[in-house]
Amino acid sequence: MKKRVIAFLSCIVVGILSSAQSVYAHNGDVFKGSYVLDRQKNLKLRISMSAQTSLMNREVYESALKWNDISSNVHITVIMETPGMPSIADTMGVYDGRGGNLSEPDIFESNQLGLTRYYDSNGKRISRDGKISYAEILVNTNAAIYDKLLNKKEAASMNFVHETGHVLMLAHPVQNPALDYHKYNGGRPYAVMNQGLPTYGYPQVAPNPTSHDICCLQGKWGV
Amino acid sequence: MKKNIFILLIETMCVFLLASCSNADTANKELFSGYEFKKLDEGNRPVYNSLDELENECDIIVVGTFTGDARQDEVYTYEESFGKDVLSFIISQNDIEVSKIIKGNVKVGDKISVIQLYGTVDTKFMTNSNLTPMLKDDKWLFFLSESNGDYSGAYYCTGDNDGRYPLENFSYRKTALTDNENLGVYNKEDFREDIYKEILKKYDLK
Repeated sequence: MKKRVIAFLSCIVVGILSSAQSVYAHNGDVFKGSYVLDRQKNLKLRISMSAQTSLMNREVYESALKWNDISSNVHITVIMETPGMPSIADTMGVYDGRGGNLSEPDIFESNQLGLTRYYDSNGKRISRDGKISYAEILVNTNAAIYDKLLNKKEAASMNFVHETGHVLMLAHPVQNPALDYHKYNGGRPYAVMNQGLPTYGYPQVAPNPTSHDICCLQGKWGV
Repeated sequence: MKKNIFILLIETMCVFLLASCSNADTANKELFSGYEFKKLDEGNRPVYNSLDELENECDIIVVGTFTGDARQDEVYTYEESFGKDVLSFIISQNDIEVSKIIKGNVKVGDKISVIQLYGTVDTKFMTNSNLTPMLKDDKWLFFLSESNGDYSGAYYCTGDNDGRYPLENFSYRKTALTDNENLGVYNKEDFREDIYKEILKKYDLK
């Protein structure tokens, strides 16, 4: 009998703790999409040569590993492409959004910091709410974009962590001042998933995953 | 009996005529009806914290009216993972006729080409932009940056939805894509209310 009471009480404590955590994550903070074969469990990001610059280097790209050890269903590996490197199965590409092996329009030059795209198994572009086979990231490698900031490296890293968050189905947090912890710039939480770069003007933009981001990732993929 | 059949036929024709008129009316009001809306990509972009920041960042600030229907380019690129070309970007382009200048080296009456990342493929309306489509006769306040390379000479809205605002008392064309046509965005929360308030205080848009 005692054991049952203890188990019951434990459940209540766990319930209270988990509901306290979920206070951060709200409807709209994550996408509905999922990966075929649970690809998020072994997500290999292959950083193309075109996306590697003196600023956008291994240190910046490995900042994506900050999403590891949060959910047992999410694991990221970063592979820096080298000349002649053979293709590796099931990798997801990271490209220079301004060109490289893609001919993107120049609107990317200063109007986008990064983009994440989703494809189905036939190579058709689909929205983030579908059954996704492959995702790719385009990053803006134009150092001038980050030049205005005090810490360029931190800004470039934040930008890549943000895009990797989209690969992991995290959305831009909903804006609503009535929600708990949504107290910055018209109702945003402090989160790496906010748009923009971490500067004095944008107190809501975090350089690293915050408790809000962590709760969203766990809400999407489990603890 | 014959008379009854004749009346019935006339009535049926009237019903069909009324129904087709009503459909035509709906089609005119509901541009893009029947299209599946797809916000394709997610991403990060520069966000401007104030009107001052936006003014400093953009190249020109004008009031202008879209003069025609948007033209569309599709960019396909080879994707190694699939071993084939896949749709990479859809770019729409339209011209505005400038009627007021707040910043920049342009003149009233100039035609300026504006590009925006959206378009239609089959029955899908695909967009990377938070801004609603560029529709003929719609008049907006634009904060524009000049593009380089392939679209050299054309402009895009600075910071996407940070860069286009409605004029007071202007009635914007309704589409099936959003109920927020008067704000020019699909989702109300993408409208920069804070910057718009500054604009209304600072600029005379009447």
